[in-house]
Amino acid sequence: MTSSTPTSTIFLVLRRLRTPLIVLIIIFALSVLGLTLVPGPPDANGAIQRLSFFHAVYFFSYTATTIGFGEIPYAFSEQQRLWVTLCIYLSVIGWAYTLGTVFAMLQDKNFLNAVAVQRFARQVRRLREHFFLVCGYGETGRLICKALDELGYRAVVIEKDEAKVGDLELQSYSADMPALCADAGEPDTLLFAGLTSRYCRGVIALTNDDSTNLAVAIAARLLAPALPALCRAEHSDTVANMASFGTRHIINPFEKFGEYMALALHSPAAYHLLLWLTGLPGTTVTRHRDPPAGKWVLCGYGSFGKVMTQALENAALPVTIIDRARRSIQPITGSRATAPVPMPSAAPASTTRSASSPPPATT
Amino acid sequence: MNLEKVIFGFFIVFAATLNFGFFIGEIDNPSHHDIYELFAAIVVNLIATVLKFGDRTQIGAIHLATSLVADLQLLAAAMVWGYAVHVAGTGLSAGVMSSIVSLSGGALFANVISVVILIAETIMQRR
Repeated sequence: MTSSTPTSTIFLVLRRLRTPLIVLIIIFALSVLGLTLVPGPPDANGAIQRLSFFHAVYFFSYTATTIGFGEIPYAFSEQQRLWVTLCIYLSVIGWAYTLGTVFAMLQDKNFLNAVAVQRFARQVRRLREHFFLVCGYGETGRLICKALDELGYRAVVIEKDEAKVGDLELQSYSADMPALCADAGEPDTLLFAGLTSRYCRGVIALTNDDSTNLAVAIAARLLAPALPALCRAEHSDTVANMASFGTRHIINPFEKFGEYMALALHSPAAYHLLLWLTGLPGTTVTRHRDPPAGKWVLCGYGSFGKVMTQALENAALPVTIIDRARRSIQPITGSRATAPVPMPSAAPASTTRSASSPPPATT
Repeated sequence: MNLEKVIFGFFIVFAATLNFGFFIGEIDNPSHHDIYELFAAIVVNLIATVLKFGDRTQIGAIHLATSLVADLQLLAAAMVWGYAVHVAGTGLSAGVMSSIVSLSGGALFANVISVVILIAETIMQRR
């Protein structure tokens, strides 16, 4: 649908211009015809002069466009002046109507969007360098674009949020990065963004919507099977779904954080080394505080909480979980250490934090 | 009956008939070719062109193309007329008249194509 929308909007614009253009043509034709028929002043021999079509078109062209050179080629007769007065008002109405229609169309949201899509697609088509297709320009997207820019790659960005696209335009990247405000889940949008271009080196799906990322993964797999796709997935079923389509790099940010946490707990030096090796280009080495060993209190037990609990348990650290929903706290199967402490559902978690009973810290 | 189709067909056929009316006659005889008929042919052709705007089908594109050709030819004929009478000052000599009429003949051919497409389109429609 998206592929047809921008082009069909152009056709719709032409269609809407029909009436104003026909009105203009008719007004012009009527006025010129009248000018050639209305009797003018008598010439030296007393014969009635009439404007030829050449002079009528000339006169009406400068009158209708409000240039107004005056009465050319000779001073008009009163009959001609009467007709010209009518013509002037007619032409003003015609122009006002046409310009009104044109400006209303230029303000039209769909029209502006169609123009933006066309411009974006043209920009991407003209790219003669390798680029990465980045879907989602959030915090991560911004970091990735910065890194790609420093590595000398171009990025083509699709972002749903208009404010973030505006933010991209304000960033001072060394290379121009084409960006489009659209839903990356639409395969046509991806095609406009050069998914099948031979300069495309990879697709990175980073939107905070799992289903959009999944759609990007599927589209990349089907439309450009050879292209590596890096996709973010927060839920395990999305991960499984992406894997079933053969997506090569599925990144679960929660799991990744859990892994890093576990590594930092287990061997801080290895964690630092990992940070140095995988850090963004140009970042300086900073001293990170190692996560302390001891009892941990985990507030909130969602999909992120589960991953963190697992990481802490693997490091053999006692964990107390606080969550408002009793239902969500189920002991992890095969859990070695702690039993989660459900809080009374009526009490907010923050106020009852101190009241939490000490966990049975066993190892 | 679709009013839009009536108007569309009317202007296409009218453009062709006016064009034919101007074209017919001895090619170099100015008294056989009326300037008002040329003017009407130009105006009706322009309106027919605008009516063909915004049709995204293949047939619509060909329609628009033939109309643009007819406009171009008729406007060229009008310009030759204006140039001969007002700029060059030679008046409507036999040579000038024949070049005007032959230009309008080219436009007539484009208009005939337009009418043929219109008829073909109508015949192809099944219901």
